[in-house]
Amino acid sequence: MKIGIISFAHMHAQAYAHYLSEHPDVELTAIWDEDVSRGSDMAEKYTCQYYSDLHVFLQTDIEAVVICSENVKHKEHIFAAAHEKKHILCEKPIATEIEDAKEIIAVCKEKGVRLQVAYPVRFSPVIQKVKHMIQSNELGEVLAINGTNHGQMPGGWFIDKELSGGGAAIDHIVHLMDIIRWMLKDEVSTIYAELDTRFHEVDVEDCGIVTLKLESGVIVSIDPSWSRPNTFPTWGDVTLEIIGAKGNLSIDVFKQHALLYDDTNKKVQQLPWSSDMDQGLIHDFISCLKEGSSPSITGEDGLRTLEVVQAAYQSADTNQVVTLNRVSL
Amino acid sequence: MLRIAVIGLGKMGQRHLEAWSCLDKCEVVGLVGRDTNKLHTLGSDFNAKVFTSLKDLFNQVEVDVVDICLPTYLHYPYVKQVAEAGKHVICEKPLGMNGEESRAILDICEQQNVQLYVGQTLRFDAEYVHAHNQVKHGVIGNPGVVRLSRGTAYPYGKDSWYEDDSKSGGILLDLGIHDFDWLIWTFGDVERVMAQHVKRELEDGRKLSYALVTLKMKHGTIAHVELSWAKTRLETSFEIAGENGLIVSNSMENQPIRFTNWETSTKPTYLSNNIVEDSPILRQLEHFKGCILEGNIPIVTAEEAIQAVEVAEAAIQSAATGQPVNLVERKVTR
Repeated sequence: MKIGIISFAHMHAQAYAHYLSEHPDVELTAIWDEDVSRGSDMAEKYTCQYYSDLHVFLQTDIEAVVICSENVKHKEHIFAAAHEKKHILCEKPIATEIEDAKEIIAVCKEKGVRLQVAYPVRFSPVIQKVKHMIQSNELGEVLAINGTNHGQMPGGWFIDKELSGGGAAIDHIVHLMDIIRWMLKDEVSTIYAELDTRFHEVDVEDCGIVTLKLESGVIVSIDPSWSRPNTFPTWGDVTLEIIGAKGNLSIDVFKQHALLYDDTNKKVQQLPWSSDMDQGLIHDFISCLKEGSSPSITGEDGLRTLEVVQAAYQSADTNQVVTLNRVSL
Repeated sequence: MLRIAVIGLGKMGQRHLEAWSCLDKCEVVGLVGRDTNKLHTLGSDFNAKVFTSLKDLFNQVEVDVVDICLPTYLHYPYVKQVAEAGKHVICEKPLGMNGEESRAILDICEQQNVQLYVGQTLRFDAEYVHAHNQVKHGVIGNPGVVRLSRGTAYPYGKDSWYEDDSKSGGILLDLGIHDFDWLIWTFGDVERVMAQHVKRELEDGRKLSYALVTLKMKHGTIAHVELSWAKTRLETSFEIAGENGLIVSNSMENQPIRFTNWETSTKPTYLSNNIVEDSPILRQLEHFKGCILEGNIPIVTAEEAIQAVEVAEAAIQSAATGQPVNLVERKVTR
């Protein structure tokens, strides 16, 4: 199965390229990138062909594409790929506007291409175990969740609203929101958000706390802040405290690491040794394609998480609680 | 010499008695309580005369200060009695059931010209004082997001007044007061509060209470406080992220000694077991003693204790209505 990558703007593209190259049933044959030198470098690194023309790239015999362009360009690239009947794995967020996400879902449906949104945290063995514990009722009824998805400030196009659609909120609310929806099979009812720019001289928000109530009544806090300093021993974190009627669950997704006190680089670093969730995501996407099954993470999952982000922005602008009106599909 | 009477024989009363007995230039001259058995046992343990009412106490011994270790809903009536007898007051946190009552407590003390000290113990807790000082010294630069977490076992049993919101204010007041006071002390006034709260009584009779509170400080810092009465022991943690750094501390990872006793089951704990030379309560009471005897400047004022209660009250209101509460507006409309 031949697969191509559209853009290496998002750093996750490298991990995806690596796991595509390693996959026994896959050949990474083509890369398109707006940035000629980045695209050529990556094509050389992963020994495949670089294309400077997206149209030509999409005419090749690839079956599917992995899209890692800047957030606002997802729509354009998904449309182009769908029109050429290429299946799609798109980096999160699915889009920056709800209307765009709707159109993306519609066009993929119309063209009969599978669209998967990249929420790799679902493939963390830690999160898989947590999901199993919740769904087998080991925690009893879930009552509350206190979550963080912290990061360092990524810089580059991530802090250019014209390309990213926003800052820490759009970057980091979605991961936790996705696993909460997925594990609890629940949707968001109301949202309140405090968002601010307090760590860096950037034009987008770099921190905040989001307060959510789910339809079942579960109360949730999400901290999506880019609040990890440069000296933090890794890129960030995903943590969850889940309060259930039968007990508490404290989760630190990346806790399985060795700690390196590194004199050479004058840093303390976490060296993860657990299985890589990006690999799980790529393998899942490939097996969906091979088996012709529906994608495990759908366009709707992308849309529902984006709706929460947009409601958080609305709440932060007005200091009011926003009741989520989910668009119908 | 400071002549002290302690009222209240519960957990806090006993802790205070232990601390007073370790301090010099002071003497517990009276112990007041309802449970006569316990009263006599504690009276003989701490070598104090025992009384079943404040009236008897004041009639029979000379007292300088009364240390009130009673349930929160009794603070107002007992502070009133003590102040009207012209004695100084040390009062357990939270000062009152709400802002208005706390304000009335301070007013009475001012009218009667007696001093009022509030036991906001975190201000004397080495771990939290240290963190406060790091922020004040600018170690992390301008603060951005502060996360605090405090959990204990559910307060069942003899102290079941904690369970009754009309007596303790519930988890948001009784447990939250610590972190709210520390936040105000360290980062200044609170502008807005948003809170969510769940309480459950389970089929097997167990109960839990859990709350998540977001505070927007007036100068901009965003704070998040997790409060849990769903743990098996006291667990606290905080992280303070600023533009130049991040301070993290977690009681579960700060234990220099871990002892697992095979025989005793997991007994719930409520109070800090940090290994320090002086316990926070000891440091606190020693400080109050110095304020009364030597006129030292108090680390925590009653005014600040009122502010913390007001924040807790706003959190309770927010959790009840599902809406954020603006503290500045509340003050103006009052």
